[in-house]
Amino acid sequence: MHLTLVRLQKLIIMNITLEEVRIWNFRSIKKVQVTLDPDVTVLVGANNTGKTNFLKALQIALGTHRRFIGKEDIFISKDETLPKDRVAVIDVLLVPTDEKDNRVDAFNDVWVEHWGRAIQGRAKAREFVAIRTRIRYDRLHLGYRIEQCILKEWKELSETDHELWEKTRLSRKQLEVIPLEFMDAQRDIYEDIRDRSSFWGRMIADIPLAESEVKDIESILNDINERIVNASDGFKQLKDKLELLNQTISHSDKGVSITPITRKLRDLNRGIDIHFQSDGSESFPLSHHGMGTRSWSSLLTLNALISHQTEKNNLSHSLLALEEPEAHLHPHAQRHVFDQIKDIPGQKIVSSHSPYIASQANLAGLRRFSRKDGETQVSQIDMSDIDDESQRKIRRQVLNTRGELLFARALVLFEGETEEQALPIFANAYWGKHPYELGVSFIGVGGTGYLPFISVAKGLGLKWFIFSDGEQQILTNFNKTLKKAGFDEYQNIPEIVTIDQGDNFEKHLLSSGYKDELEEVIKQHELKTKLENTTNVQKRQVLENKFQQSSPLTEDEIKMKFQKKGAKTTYSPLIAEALIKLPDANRRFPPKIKELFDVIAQKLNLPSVQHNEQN
Amino acid sequence: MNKINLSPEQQRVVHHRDGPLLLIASAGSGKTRVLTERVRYLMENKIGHYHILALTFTNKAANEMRERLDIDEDDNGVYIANIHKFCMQILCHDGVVIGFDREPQIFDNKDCLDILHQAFDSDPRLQQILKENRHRKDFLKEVLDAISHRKKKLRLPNYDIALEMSEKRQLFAYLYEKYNEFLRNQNALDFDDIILYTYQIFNEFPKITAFYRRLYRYICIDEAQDLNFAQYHVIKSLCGQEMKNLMLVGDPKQAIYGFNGASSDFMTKHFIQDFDINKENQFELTENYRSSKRIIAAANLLQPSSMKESQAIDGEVQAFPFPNEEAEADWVINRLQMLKQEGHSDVEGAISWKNCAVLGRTRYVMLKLEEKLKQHDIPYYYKRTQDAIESESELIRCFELGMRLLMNPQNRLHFQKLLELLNLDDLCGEIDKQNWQNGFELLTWINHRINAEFAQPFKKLLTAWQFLADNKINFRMAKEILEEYARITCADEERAMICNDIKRWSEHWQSYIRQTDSEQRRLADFLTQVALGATHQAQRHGLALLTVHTAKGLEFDVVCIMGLCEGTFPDYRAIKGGSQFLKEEKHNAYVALTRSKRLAYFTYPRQKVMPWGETKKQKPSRYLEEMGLKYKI
Repeated sequence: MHLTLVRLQKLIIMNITLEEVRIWNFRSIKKVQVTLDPDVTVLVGANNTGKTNFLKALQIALGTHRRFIGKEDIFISKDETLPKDRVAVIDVLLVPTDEKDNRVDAFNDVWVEHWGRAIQGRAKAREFVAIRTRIRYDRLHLGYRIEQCILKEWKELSETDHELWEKTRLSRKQLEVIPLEFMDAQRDIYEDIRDRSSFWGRMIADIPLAESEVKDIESILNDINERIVNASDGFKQLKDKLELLNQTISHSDKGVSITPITRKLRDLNRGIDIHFQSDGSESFPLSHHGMGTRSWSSLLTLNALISHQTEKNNLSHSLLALEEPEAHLHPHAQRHVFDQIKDIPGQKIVSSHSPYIASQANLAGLRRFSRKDGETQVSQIDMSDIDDESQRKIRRQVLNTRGELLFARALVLFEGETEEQALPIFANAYWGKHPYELGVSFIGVGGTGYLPFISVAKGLGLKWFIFSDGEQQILTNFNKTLKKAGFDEYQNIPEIVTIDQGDNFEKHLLSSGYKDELEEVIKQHELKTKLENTTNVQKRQVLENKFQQSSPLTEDEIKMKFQKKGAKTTYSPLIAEALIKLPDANRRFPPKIKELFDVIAQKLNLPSVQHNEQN
Repeated sequence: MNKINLSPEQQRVVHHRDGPLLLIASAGSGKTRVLTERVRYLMENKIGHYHILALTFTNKAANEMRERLDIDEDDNGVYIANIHKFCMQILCHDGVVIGFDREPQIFDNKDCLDILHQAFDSDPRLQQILKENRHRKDFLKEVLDAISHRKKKLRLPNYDIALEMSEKRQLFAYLYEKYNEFLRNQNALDFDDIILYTYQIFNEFPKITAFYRRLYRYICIDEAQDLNFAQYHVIKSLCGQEMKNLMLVGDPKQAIYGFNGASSDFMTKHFIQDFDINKENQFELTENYRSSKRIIAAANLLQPSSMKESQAIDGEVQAFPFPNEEAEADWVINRLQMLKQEGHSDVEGAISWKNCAVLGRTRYVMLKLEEKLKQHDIPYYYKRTQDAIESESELIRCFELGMRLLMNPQNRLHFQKLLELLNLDDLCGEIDKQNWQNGFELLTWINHRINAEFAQPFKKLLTAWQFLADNKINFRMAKEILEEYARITCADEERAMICNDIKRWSEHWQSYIRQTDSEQRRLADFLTQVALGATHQAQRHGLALLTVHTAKGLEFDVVCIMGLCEGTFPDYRAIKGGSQFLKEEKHNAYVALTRSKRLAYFTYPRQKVMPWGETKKQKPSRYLEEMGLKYKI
């Protein structure tokens, strides 16, 4: 009775968080410092930017299964040969937290007992445990070795900080309590159930049966095997022929036995299979399912293992490093799988290329990986810049629908619908590629609230551009917000392109000499709409004639047409489509659009427009 | 040992969980075993989460306890150490809060005397005082004792500076301040400071203390009868108001460290009062499982009704007078040799040298014996309490000083000594001007200024030091470089000296590496452990020659106690000191006797040759009569 109570206590009080990770000289990472979310951290970024390297580094620092390490694991910059004395360093900072994941001052009893004197920050009563892992070339062993120590301080980084080496003892036992489980993208439950070292294999490895029970079961298994073999002529034939083999190499009678099913309990994994049944269909064995199901199942096994371990050890903060949980899954399932990941106890660090997953993550838990001059860089959003309202807005307007912005190189922000429809079409024509291929996302912010998006872009290390109307009131307000965020006035920021005094997009087209093209588009559209509603051939003829003879529209009339409800979204793609087909290449892009694209091309180092024209 | 062997009384102690506990355990009552078993019990039957702290009197006792529990140092949630080692670890971990930016360096008594000289030299007024004093050596000792006394009373230099006091006390207070300033400027401390500064941390930084209280939920103190004021209070401040799970184990009848400020009152009075211990939590173990009937009977005569016998074996307790020390020594050797050859009906199995010990009140009592043992080629060892390394060869003295500077480049004292050895005295002031990043830079700096005569050996030393300065301390390489140098360059006599010096250091190193993981070895830690005596490896081969104090906690089948005459045992200083001192002196006799499991022989010479050649008649010790021993006159 007493003991169960104690056990329960142990289960409840186990709150620590891996708060921060710093890495030097590991693979593509020369130096990064990343804070982690107490619940889910999602690492996003293009391929080859170092997300997996980051997870691997964590695995080396905290993982239960140590990997071999070699010189490939040490960072080298371009054109450099690896200096033998270069040391890779991985620092992890563990801090006590309460049930709600808030940082608290002191570790609880369980952790004090476990870490003992490794706990630092005693004098200030702001406790932490900092573990440094080094990968160092060992001349004696002629290879790289991993060593670990406790850091006494966790201070702001200086250049030589990673050279520090304290010789404070740290036992394997102390590290094993925060097992980090790493699951790579190649997971497949079909493989897992045959592999003793997989999560599956580890789960079922210890079956708490007494030796006599094991014997009982195995003798039953033996009987079953015998019955099957005896009932089958095929088996009997095989056995007889195989026994001939025995006669030639050894002279004992026994030797060949065929066991259609597992004979030993410890070989349980050999014959195991799982059958899944989807709605109304037959139940199929795993091997018949697609990789999506198999990968997903593998993930669920991990969840089971973590719950199992947490219960068994009483003392376990589980850390899960997960590579691309979306692998092989369709979009809906991708969203669903993220929900399941969130339900796994402990702290999760997930790398992903899926906008569906990334968009579900908290802004605060997003880390964007990128590469500059071959070195991995990690950026995150400074949440203090973004108030709750803006957060909701960002979620609503962008992440929920446009998660891909997290994978972009640049954001182009603008007010409203006109640009949203037209700009991608112009961009496609300008570069000869869809903007997504260039990593450029076009985002209408629905008003003039650019700031939260700029914060997101800044935080994620994305380039940003703004295409704004030139109405005086808007521009005055705009400068105010810019000033508040610590920026210069818009006039001095090349990334901000504004339409001339008082104009909006339509007016800009008119004042730039596109009246005829606008008129044509409007008339064509009006005609088309009317024709669609008319089946009578004569009437259609009348309409077409009327269209041919109609008097030209005045500029004011055109402006009026744009005021109609839904007109902007209707006309702007049509106008864009019409303009990019103009025979005169110089007139295909209105001046302000060209100005914007020129800036983008320059800042992102994209091929120039002239180059495309020649193609 | 398993639990079945515990008596019901012992078991009650072992199974005691929360609340303070006092255990008075007489000699041979299984004190260490009970303590060890309680630690094991608390470890194996945990309710909650905690570590256990067990503090012993000696490094050896700590090692023994670890061996019995089959654990490594600081592992399995049990930390076992002697109190100085424990406190030194606190200073290394948390010393930064009282201004130790790096691990402090321990200065031994000789170093401290030099520091005191520096303190005197720093002030013309003090210089004058020292110059005028005719008994300079005694005076310096008096000052050091006074400083030590203050530290043992846990008084920091600023403690009583404002109080009115005699001129002499004012002077001593001022000297204490100066002396400490010199130590602190060099990132150094003396032995008393280890306890004092730990007390300061515990007292002034409650958050740190609270951490250790959370970590060590149970604290056990062995040999508590020998706690002194400072030690008791450092433990008390660690416990604070809330921590009550403190266990003190000891035997007031074996209190023999009064000269060090120790008193069994801390255990039997203060502890009971401060922790409000009720009768149920005061245990007493009186049954002696160690000694034979005769020994217990004699011991009970010395200390009335102290022990219950439990052995069925009679054993022997006898006293023998001899005409002189020579005859006394001869008899001891003959007796032991005979026992070794023939055995004894009261001792199971054969008797070998390692089952025997010769005890004396002081080492001088056994001088003659040592001589004779050498003549007879009988293996013996002499157990020292602390063994400060003092190298004889210049090369290794330099090497040693360099090691200290590697650990602590602020070490002005040893910097100066090194320069003196190298005839570079005039550079001493440079330590204040230069800004060396580390000790190796300092040594390299010296290398650039070295005189031609020392250039070659110093270059070798620098190579050797380099192997220690690195994170990967490689003592073996350093040793080989120096040995090779000695082989090639030095004449035989010098080479022999160097090799002996190196051997001593190697022994410490060997002992150190047995106690540590390769990952955690550092030069600073090595030197600290050497200074704490933790690397002192008593070679225990042959017959043990022990003083009563070094025999503490040990047991032998056969014990010969020599020099039982008035003035020797009891010591003349105790007789002069009066009842309080005589009480403790009797403890010494009691401790000596109870080291024996089976046979105990007291011997004494009727006359002694004094060091100045005179012969002096000796009276038999009063203890012989008290123990009711019949001896022929």
